[in-house]
Amino acid sequence: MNGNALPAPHRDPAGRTVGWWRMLRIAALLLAATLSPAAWTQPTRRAVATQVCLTAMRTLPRFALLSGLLSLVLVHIVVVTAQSYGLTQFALGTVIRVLVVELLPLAAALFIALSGSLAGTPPVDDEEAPDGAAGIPRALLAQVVARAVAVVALATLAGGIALALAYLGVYGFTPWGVAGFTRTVGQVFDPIVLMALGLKTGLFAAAVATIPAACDADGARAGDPTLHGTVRLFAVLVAVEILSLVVEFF
Amino acid sequence: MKKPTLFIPHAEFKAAALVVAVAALIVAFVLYVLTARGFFEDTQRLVLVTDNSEGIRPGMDLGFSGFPIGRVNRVELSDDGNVRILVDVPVKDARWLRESSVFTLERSLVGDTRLRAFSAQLTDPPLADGAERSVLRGDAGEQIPQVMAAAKTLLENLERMTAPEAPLATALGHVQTVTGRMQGRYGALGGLLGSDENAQKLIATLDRSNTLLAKADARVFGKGGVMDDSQAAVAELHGLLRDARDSLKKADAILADAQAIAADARGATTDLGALRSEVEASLRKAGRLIDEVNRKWPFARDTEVKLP
Repeated sequence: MNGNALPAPHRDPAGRTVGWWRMLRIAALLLAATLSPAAWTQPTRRAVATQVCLTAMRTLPRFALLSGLLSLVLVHIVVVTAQSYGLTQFALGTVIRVLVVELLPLAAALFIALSGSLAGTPPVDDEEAPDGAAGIPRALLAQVVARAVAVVALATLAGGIALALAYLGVYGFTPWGVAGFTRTVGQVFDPIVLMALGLKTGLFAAAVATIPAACDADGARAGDPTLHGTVRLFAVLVAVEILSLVVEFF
Repeated sequence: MKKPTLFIPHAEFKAAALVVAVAALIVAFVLYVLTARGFFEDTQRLVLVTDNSEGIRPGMDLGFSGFPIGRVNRVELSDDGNVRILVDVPVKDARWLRESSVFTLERSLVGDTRLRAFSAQLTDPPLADGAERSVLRGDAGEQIPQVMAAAKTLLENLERMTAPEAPLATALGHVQTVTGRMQGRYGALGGLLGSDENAQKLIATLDRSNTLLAKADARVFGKGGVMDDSQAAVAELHGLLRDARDSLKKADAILADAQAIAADARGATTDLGALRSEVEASLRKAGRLIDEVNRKWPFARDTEVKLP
């Protein structure tokens, strides 16, 4: 079945709305099942642990390298530009705000989303029967948890790397810039920014974890499931980013 | 067909370690941010009062000698319409603030607004907690309207100067005309006099003047000329002056004699004064003698007063 043969509910606005609603409902069910203590049986814990380890092994080193390179390039560009305009006092704040607050959480979410959609769900358990928690398959539950953990872990790790590279880029290998660096970090991360960063990362993690799985689990949907879920995921990520910017700057 | 099962040894432990490590990183970062924002520091409050809060935002630094020693906590309006800037100063940095400290608010065209403290006398008493001070403002942006007005006036003047009918354009046209004339046969002279004909006349006049001067030179400085006669006249005048000087010497001697005579006359006058004094003294003595004779002589009047 190709895209032109999509059923009516996915072509007209009402059908799209129904599709979005169904996806959000399944995503909410997945979240609820994940947070339900009854779902965390021993086999589930083992499956989740295996999936978390697999996802972390597959993504953490690559993303650390990628985010390090990205941070290095951006820090260099911002610092050199600020020096040429005589605005070096703003370079560090700009780098922290751009990288740690804005770019890296989004990059982590996109990285996990893309790696998940390209690699598919790895087999972690032979048992395909429902786990008993709202009828969610154990492998799906493990995938949801592993993706959420991976997004938070990648964003945290990349933020730490970016902070270290920003310090080195601005002050070099000297301990005498720690006081100024700490002060700048304190100025950038006021309570609203800190809260927005936490909420944004959490929403990114929830979206990346649940939306592709919800689209996969939506049996009534037609067409390419992976592409369809990825498009919806990107739309949600953009919406969360815009919401975060609104909270931070307005 | 079943998919092959992946087995990772100690998967639960590894996953838990990863989650704990991430959680620890997040907690450490939050603690670091709280420390950076001075959450765990003892602070004292400083209230700065100004009339405009533009550029001031919570979180900005209060600087002292280039070092941040405080942080703006809140900006609020007071009942009298002034702006109150509440600054938290860590206790360890409060020693730089004294009773005599001065606070400034500087706003530049580019970059942040800056709050600064200046303490000239570090021996003064330290600033008390909750002290309220006025802020001196320096705002480069406030001068922009004046600068723009001046620039506008300048541009208008420039436009008037460069207009086609402007005096400057007319003057430049005249200069062009004059320099054009200077390119003629007689150069700058033709330009100054207006035409080559006038320059030619001037040159002819100069030639005639040169001829006339040559003749005059011969008449004045030549042999038997005016200068020779003048020199003879000067020599004669010199002799006359010498005679006059001799005459004046003689007159001087005569005057000296007259002066001596006048001095003698002044001495004689002095002697007559003395003689007159002596005569007057003799007359007074004779008068007193006659009075004495009159008192003692029988013809003397009875001057007694007889009582009845």
